[in-house]
Amino acid sequence: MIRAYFYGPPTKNQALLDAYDAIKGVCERADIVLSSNTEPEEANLPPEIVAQHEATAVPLLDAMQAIIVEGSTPDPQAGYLLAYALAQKKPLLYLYTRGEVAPEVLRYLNLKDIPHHIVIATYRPDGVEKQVEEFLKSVGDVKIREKPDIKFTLRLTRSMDEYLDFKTRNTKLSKADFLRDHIEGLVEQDDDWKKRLRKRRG
Amino acid sequence: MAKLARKRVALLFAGGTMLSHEPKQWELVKKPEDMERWLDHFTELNVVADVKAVFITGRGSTEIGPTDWLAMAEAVRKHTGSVDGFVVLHGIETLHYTANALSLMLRNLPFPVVVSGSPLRIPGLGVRQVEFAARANIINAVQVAAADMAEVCVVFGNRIMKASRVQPTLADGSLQLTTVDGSMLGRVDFGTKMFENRVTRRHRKPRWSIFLDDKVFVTTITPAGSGDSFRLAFRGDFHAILARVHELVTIPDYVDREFLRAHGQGIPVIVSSRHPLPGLRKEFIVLTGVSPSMAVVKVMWALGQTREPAKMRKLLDQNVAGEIIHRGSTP
Repeated sequence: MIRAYFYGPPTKNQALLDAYDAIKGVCERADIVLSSNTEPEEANLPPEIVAQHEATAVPLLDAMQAIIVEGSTPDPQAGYLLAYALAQKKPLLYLYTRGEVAPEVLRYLNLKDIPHHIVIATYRPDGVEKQVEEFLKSVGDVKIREKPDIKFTLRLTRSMDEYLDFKTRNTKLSKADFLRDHIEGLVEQDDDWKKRLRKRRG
Repeated sequence: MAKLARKRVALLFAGGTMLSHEPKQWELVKKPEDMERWLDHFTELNVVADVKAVFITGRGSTEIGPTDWLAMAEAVRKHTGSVDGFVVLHGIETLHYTANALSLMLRNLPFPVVVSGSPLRIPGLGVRQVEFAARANIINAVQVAAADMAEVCVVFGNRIMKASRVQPTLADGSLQLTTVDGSMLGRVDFGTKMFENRVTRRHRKPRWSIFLDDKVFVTTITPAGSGDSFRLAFRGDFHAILARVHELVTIPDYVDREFLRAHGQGIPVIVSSRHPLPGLRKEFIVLTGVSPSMAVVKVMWALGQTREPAKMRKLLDQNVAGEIIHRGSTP
């Protein structure tokens, strides 16, 4: 499982906060173990890794396989993470909103010589997820679950609803999650469907 | 988009510059002309701050001593006002001596002076690991030099430490730096996080105490010695004797005699000990509560200002840079 760090400068700008949520949402769907300054507990690492880093004085950032920075607003930490990733040859995605002037920190990099492990990308509010998905796929063997964004009204019988209540009680799953997981399982096992998909892709 | 004020940081080259841009090809700064090429291989530093290069020495860590410490302190004084902070690049082996000395000479600073550098080439540690650790240390040091801090400190790995308390330690078979009391001024995990106990930036006039006299005869007292071992001290034009008495509580007679002889010749005798020394004569100065490297450096620093035993005693007794952890013992 890939470990990644996301940094979003503290902000009250709702558009940026929405982008932060979208970035974290992709990581969640990709089963990335995400540490982030935007979470109450910044480090999301097993205690044995934290202890090992403590003993060897190695920064926790070193345990990350990828770094994502939302750098639309000027912030010294964004520049630091960029420098660190360059020095450590770690994959980093530096994002800023399309239409804005490029962040000042990028001026100090020779844009012609940016190594392939550093991706600098602009995004529109509805396009940030795509940028993150592409970056994560380039980092390693990452499978990203599709985002369920098609609204579907489904009428159920009372007994079906009771069953769903029973199956999701004391779990973190919603009834919709439970149904989605089941449909995913059916799709995985359906050879006819897979054949059809292959045919469609040519 | 709003702009951030770009910080200017002076890099003082004094070793600790081992980088490898190609396998088995090490980049070192041995003379002033090497600095530009070294910085060309470290362009990512520009992202963190506007870097100004200052050459101090190209000698290895174990060759660096009081003359270089004075040169570093003078360089800080000279460039004060033109930069937001300083980073001293240094090899790890004797980094604690340099850090201790700078903490005594540079006080009441309105900016940080950060001592850091490359780790040692440890057998078993790959070139890539050494290279990455070195670059990370230096980036972290520059980031701290641009941060809200105003004292001499050491950045090593994820530790930001008070320079006056730093000492080396062996962990996992490699040489590391830590503090005598385990305290830290901040940490680097996903970025620099400063703790409340640090001194923060504000307008203040630096107190320069750039004095060192290295004519100190340093010896360790054991029951196996004899007066002969002190002959060198009397022959060598030494201005003070620093005796480390770490295992004994009572000073052997042969030592007591030689100490008295030195005292009679106007040579201050300083005894650094882990334990109280109840039988020690009043004429001798006891130095406790500081690390072994700080004991040496502090005696040099005090001796640089006076040779008068009473004044030396007063200087050595002062907690100049937070170096005294607990009086009555040496950590």
